[in-house]
Amino acid sequence: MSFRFALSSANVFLNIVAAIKEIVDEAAFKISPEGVSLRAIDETKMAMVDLMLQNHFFDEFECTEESLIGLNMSEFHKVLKNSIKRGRQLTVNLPSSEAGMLTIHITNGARITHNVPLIGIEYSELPTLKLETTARLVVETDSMKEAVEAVSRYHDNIIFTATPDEFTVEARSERGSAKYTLTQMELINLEVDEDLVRSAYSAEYLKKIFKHKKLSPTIFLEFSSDGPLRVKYPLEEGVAELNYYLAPRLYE
Amino acid sequence: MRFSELAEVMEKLEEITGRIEMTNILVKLFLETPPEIIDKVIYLLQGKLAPEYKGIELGIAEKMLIRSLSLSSGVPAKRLEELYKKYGDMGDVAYKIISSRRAATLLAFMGKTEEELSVEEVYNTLMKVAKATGPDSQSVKIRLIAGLFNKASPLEAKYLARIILGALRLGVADMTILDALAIAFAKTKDARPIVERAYNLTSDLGEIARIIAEKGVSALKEVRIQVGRPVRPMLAERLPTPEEILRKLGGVCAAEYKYDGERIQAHKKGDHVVLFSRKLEEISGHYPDAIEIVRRHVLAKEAIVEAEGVAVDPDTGEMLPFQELMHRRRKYGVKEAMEKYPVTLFFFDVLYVDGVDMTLKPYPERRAMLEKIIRVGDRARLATQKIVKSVEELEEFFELAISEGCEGLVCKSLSGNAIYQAGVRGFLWIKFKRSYQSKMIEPIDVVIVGAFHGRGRRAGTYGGLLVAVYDKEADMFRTVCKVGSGFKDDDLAKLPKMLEPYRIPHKHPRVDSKMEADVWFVPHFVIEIIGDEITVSPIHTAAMGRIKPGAGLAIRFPRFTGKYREDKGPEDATTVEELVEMYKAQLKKIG
Repeated sequence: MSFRFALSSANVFLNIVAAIKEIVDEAAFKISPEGVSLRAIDETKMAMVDLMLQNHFFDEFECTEESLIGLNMSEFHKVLKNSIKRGRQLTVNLPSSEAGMLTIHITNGARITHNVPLIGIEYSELPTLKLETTARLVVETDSMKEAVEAVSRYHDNIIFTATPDEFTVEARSERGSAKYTLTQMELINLEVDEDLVRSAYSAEYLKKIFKHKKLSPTIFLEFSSDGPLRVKYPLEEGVAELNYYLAPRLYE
Repeated sequence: MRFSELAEVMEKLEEITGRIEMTNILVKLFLETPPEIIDKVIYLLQGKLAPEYKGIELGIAEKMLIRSLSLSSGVPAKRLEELYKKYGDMGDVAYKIISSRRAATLLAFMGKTEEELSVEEVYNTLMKVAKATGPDSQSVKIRLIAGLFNKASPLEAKYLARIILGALRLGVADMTILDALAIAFAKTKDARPIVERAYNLTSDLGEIARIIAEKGVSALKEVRIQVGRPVRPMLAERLPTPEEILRKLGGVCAAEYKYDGERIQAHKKGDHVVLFSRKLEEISGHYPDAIEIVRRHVLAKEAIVEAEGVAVDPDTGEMLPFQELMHRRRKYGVKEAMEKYPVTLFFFDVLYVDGVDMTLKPYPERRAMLEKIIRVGDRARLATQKIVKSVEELEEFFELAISEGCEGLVCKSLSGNAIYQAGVRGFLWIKFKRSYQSKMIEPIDVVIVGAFHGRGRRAGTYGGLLVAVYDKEADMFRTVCKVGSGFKDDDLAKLPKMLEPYRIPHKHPRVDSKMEADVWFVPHFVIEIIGDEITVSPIHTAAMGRIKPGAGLAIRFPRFTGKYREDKGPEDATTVEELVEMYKAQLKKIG
């Protein structure tokens, strides 16, 4: 088990870890000659995060055989956050000088070295989620964050509705209701295969999912009626992306 | 093992009140349970994750459970709170909510069916919840619990909710579980004492269950007392009169003061000391000073000893009531409480010393060993003990104990079979407590007749005053208590000077006292005091023989109210007659 990879912007890596820790506390990166990936489902089995970083996404990448790197993501994030500032570079190494550790160097002139303990994780390959989506849109990350914040005070179930002309986010209860509308004009792209596509999702998860503008200012949304939601943060077209999947709320 | 099987048993147990029927259900459950998880099944049946002494708690309140259930079901927390108000039980709320929910996890869209909940998964997940720490731990706990609800059937959800909140009240007592274990794995009730003894020595039902289920009853005989594991305490029976107590104990017994404090079981291994409460919770954190006392005063490498921890006023050396000690029962401010209410340990038993299990030795041998291994000091003492052979002796010793602030006596059998019966309430130890109490509801005026030198912070002034009431008929002053509490620093500073003109080298002829004071005064100054109650006392002379032959009346836990009655002469103080009236007027049966 050995590998080494480097990124000229350490911030990118920090943002990726921040996005993962929203969903899973403990997870494993899979490092292979092709690149770095991670697919993990949260404890409730309602949300999943799927990361793919191909080897040429990195400035340097060396890996001869596959390894699994189990980490406590909250702890890992804390460690990185305190050392990473804009303009710093990052390298990640295994084996480390200390057994059972992952070595991380963060540099811009001075060099900070962290040895982070690896944790054992029962790893089982999650099956791919095959989605047949009928609504697909591209939207600004901030709009989605704003939409969920605006309507979620009325209910934890947030209803997404797409028609060929517009996309709405709404919530309703006895205490009132709110609706956030984005027309073709405000959306970067909108493709809807049916007259009306409607599904509900948990506000608690949507809030976690839409807060990563730093990963990408625009995101891809896909869903179908009463089907899971896919949110894609493109990092580099075709080379690196982070996807969230969220189970729908179903009504009786 | 599927969790649904356990939930079904829980449902059955809830409807049963008969112990035999309950035992039968448990026997069947235990036989169907794989031996390697029987400990988990037993902990869950009792709504816990581990024996008390390990201190593992879920720490989940209704609010957090509601958030988890809301996350799992999509039903807003507000609505769940309303339902909770309506039903009054989160178990019922969970049942209803999960009944009307359709599965909505990603697995359904992966072509995978959700596996059923297993006992192991429930236990391990709850353990993760209990151990989650750090900045994101709240949200981790909520997701872990929501994950369980997502997989649960309505019935499973009901019992999950109750277990998580610590509201599983099936009434499955330890003794019922022990019965069921003996029947299930030894096939005979004769094994019951072996099972019970193993439990009493380890205080861990789960572990006992695993040993008997995996290796059989003979393996339980190998279970030994162990330093670091609390032993279930031996308890005393109660009899109302000294006659009955002596008769039961064969005409002779060791009477020990029953201190009004907290029973502490101390485990010492080298310098490492752990303390357990009577309920076997670890209380080391409340008593750093007691740990230090055990470290220094228990002269054995390894030992398990029992002591009563009593709060003692550092200024006067007087024992304080139990409530004062309870200030120690908190997470914060232990240090302040430790200074204000330092604890003194009164050692009364020894269960284990350097490889020797003392529980099987008779009481006199244990007491002798205790005297050998305790280096007595100011704050490490042996429980005051006296061998008594008559009712009169027992009564007198009892009254002495009461007047010194104790609750009464524990009378212990001196016979050769008086072993330490862990976890048993029997007649080898018999409590002698008061059946009557005379509450003190108003203060009295007393005359200062003597004083005791102070120590510590009170060096140079008086640590306590000997005070008396007035016997009009005989024109005498008869003592009623020694009072040291309630004096402020100003009072203490001026007392010696104030009393100096009245100081005499011997007891004043009009003073009747059995107590030897350090300093005597002419009866002159009157002060106001109040106490918890008026008690019969062999050492104070007020109303001697009026309530009981050979005993007077005394004030228990007396304190100065702050009032100097300079307006009163010594003959204007409370009289013996008034004190007797107060005693009778307030006498109530207790216990």
